[in-house]
Amino acid sequence: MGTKIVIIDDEPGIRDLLSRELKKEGYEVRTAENGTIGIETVKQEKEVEIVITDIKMPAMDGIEVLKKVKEINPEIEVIITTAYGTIENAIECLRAGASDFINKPFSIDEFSCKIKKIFEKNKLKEIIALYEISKNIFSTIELDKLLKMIIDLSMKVIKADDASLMLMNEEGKLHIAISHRLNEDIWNEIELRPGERVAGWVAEHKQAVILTNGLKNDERFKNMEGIKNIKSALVLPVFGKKDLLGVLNINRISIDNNFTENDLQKATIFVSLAALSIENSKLYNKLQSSREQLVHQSKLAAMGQLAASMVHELNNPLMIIMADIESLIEEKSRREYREIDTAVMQMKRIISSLSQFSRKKELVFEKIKIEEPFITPFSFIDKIYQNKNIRLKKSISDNLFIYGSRGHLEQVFVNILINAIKAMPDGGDLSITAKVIIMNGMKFISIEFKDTGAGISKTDLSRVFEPFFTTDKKNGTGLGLSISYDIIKMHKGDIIIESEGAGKGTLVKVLFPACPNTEK
Amino acid sequence: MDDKVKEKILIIDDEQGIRDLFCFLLRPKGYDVFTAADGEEGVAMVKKENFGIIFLDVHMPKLRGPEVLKIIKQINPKQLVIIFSSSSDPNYVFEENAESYGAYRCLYKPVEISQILGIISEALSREREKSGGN
Repeated sequence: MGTKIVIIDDEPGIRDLLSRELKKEGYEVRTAENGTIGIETVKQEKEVEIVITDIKMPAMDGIEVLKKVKEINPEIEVIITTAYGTIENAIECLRAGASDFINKPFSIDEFSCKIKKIFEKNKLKEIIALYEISKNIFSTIELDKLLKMIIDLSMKVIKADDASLMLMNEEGKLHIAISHRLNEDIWNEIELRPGERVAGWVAEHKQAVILTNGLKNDERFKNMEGIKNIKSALVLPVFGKKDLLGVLNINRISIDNNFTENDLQKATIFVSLAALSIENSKLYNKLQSSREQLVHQSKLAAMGQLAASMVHELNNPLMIIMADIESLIEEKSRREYREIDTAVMQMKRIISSLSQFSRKKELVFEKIKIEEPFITPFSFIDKIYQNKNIRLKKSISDNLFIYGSRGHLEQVFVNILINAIKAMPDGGDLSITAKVIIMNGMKFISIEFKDTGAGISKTDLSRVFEPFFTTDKKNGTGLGLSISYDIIKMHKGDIIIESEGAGKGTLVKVLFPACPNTEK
Repeated sequence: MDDKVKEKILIIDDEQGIRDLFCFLLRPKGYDVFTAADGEEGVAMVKKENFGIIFLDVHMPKLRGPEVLKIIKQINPKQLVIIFSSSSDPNYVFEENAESYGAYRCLYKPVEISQILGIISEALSREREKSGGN
């Protein structure tokens, strides 16, 4: 069974008797003739679960042993034996943390029983710990927090000092999603294919691996270059409901103990919980965002339907109003007629934008470089921003490919650029960057538009994508961002708008899934 | 009395206001304006008269714009037709390809009067050039 019991008693007879009997039951036993040696033994053996100590010994007494053992590892159960069975003693021992108190003389059966009970209790403690862990894990919905919790708990469950979780991305490669020891900057740089290094081997063969003292002792990995400092490692596959989610690496760096089969067992149970919770979190988040999307898109769809029927009805009367106003203005150039003219123009713009909702012009997806849908918008606003004293900075990496409908993306970019320009009536800086980022193991093209303009207040920020919401009362239709949001979602992307507040500029982030052979 | 022949213009639109508008605007400019409330009526009128320009709405009951255009072009392949759309057709296929269907141009309501007048004189003068003057 591999579990260790340390017997501390100054009487050799007791030591031998207990040692012999317990070894018969299959337990691994060490003995010590006094407290000092006993404590040293406990320190050395490292996997001690039970210490049996006499209470009355020269030099260090049982209570002191008890206290010192608890200092080394509070989880170690201590049983105190004594020939003086006074109640005060018993209470003092239990108060100090002893698990049990046995009076000498005792029957060996009684003793055996107590030992068995303690081991059962420990097993139960482990199960409860796993239960507590599962409660924590499943109540954490945010993926980032959850991943951190998983590696923190994995180190606790099997007493390790380093762990990292690699997740499989859409291309079937492993990326570090979170690591205890490694810096976040290099997470994205490490990419393993199935079969590559130990983690890749585990992913390919879907089998867990225990490594002790480096890779050279293992037939399968002896030709691989090991990582310094790792004394012992446990590498496990993480299985979701359908396929492999990734690989969990747990390492011992300053702990000199090798991982045991017991550790592997505990880790395996833990990993199945972790996998479930990861899938849970992903599902929940998907549900959340698709609910939000559904609400938004049903608004847009309702508007689209309304728009289609309204547009037709509105354009005819509007034509009549416009015509009549135009001829009336020729006759009388009164302020009222000019106001009506302005209002009619505004209506024309709105109806025109509205008709875009009912215009289900088909999106034509093809593989394009992200620079392409910028060409027309840039030339279009070239004239505008020069006149308005806006300094433009473009930084678009080469070889960024996405699946997109070029015309629609042009529309989105024009919309965002014009919003930025409108926000800087007295000039400012506008920077546009496009690059690859990796989130949760998947590649995205991230495009950021940053302006130093009017910014957006917190209350307005929550409404920017609402149809007809606009801060440009004079010329805005309030439909630009709604339509852009729609288009981006149809590209399976996302748009996030951030602003510190009024006067503090705005940052618009647009994300699109990267085409598989986008290079970094 | 002005002996210049008045150009005949036909407006086919199911909206009373639009028909009235054309009469109100174009008659003072010297055009002879005729109206039809739907496609069938329009076709009947085309069979009886020669028109300089026909303004054709797209969305009408009974016979729709595209069908009317086809029939008009059969009667007179050289007929100047300007499509006048309320732009609510989700497909826009017809409007966007109006010229390939035989129309001179496609306008989307609401259009400024000056634009309508401009297009009328442009279209008519082009026709006159083609037929070598009058």
